[in-house]
Amino acid sequence: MTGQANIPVRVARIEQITPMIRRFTLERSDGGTLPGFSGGSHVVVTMRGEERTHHNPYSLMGSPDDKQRYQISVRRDDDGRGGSLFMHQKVAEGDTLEVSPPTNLFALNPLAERHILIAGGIGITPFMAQLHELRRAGADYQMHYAFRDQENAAFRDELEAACGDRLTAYDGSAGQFVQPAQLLGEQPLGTHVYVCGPKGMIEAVNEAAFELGWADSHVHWEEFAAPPVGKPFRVVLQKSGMEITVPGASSVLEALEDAGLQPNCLCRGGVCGECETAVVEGEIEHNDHFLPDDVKQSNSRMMICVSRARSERVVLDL
Amino acid sequence: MPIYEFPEDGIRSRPIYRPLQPDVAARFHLMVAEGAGAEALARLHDKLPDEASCSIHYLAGSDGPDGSDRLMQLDCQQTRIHFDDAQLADALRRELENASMGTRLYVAGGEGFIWRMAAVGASCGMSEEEVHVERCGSLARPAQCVHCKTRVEGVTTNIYECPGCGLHVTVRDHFSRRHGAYQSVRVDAEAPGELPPIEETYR
Repeated sequence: MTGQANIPVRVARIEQITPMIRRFTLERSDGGTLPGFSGGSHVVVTMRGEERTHHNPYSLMGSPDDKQRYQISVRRDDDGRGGSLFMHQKVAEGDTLEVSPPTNLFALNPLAERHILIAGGIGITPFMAQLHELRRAGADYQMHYAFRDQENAAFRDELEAACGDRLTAYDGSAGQFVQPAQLLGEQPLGTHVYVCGPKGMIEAVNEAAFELGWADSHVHWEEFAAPPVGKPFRVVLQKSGMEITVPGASSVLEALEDAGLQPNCLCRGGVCGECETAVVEGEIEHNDHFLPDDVKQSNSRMMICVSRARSERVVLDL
Repeated sequence: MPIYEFPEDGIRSRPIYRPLQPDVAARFHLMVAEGAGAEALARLHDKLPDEASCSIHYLAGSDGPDGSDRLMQLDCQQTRIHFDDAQLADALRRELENASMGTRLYVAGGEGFIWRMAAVGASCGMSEEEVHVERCGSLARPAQCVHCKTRVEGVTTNIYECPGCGLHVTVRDHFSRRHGAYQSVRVDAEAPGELPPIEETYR
């Protein structure tokens, strides 16, 4: 783990928001204040389970002004690697967890003339924090929030109270869907669009922006990749001469940590670039959103937090 | 696509200009030039796809040859000739205020001109990625005295007497994009009155 040390936090409150989503309010175990953050920041939560330790990134969704507490929301993923299930089934109010200091890879552009925020489902969380900043700045913004159905429309009341008529809600069960080309067409210069949600939504927004001639720097998106489960493989560390096995349900990063190593890492979701590692030998199955396509094709580098080997063995420059 | 590059060594803020290239992803191309910049716009226009939508503003009567006729011959939705720098900047601002995302601004001309127009774009919310510039004509530099902040257009010598504070200042390669000017620093601070040879460096 690079950077500053983890912060021990106490779970002050757990709220069941929808059947699938719980909101956790975290306060410092020692009663002190938490590091400040800007809207769009995430923390990596460390959960020490009996069988394994999970490290999952979650967006901070409370007010950036509130240094007494952090709030995160966790959507239960029954097919995932267990981190979200741990948060839903094992964590109770009063328990202790650890969080990393906040990192922001999805910040608002303060020079924007207009902000168009587009969220799908649990992707609403980073915007909950950003809305505090936008309202305080008196910024021109639109909040577009798509959800599966009314039962899964997490935080809708809070959003209506915060945004008023700047909120447009899209109920998928009623056939309402975000139309990116319509939202992005005819927008004045200086407009920025931000999208967080399912892969298809992020792609659709990026495609619409490209078709309309938007410059890349005006299109912002965040999608944390969960390390996918795959086949076990061998990793040879060229510099240290170690050889370890990466189990099917662990990432390379986690396997190295289990072996007592501390590789550089930050987001653990394939977006920040911190764990980029040179590949000496082997074929990589890239799962990150960081490396450019030509680098991915060359098999010369990999993000060890989410990517795996296609070959039975890889040699890394570590 | 970067609008300009920075040198690998020396003072990194000095822009290196390249010929304008069309950003084919854009939906609308807004082209602005003065003097010798007309030729650069004509070259750029030739490279645009046939169906591209574009608009031209040209400042006639500034330094260099008058390219008005050359630009009027181009097949462009709108070509306007201006005779005053401020009038052109106003017209550009009005057009940008009504423009949509998907617009690119291209500017060709002297260094003072291109950065004044780039600043109009920035004040309308355009990012650096959306503004492309090419220096044409004279190498004369816009300069700002770091001591009294007085700005001088078209400096051609390595050293000049600042009209604001009267100091002899040397024009450094240190360029401020926000001010659109090179920074000038007193040249004889340690031995007042002892000046190096004054040469015409930026003709």
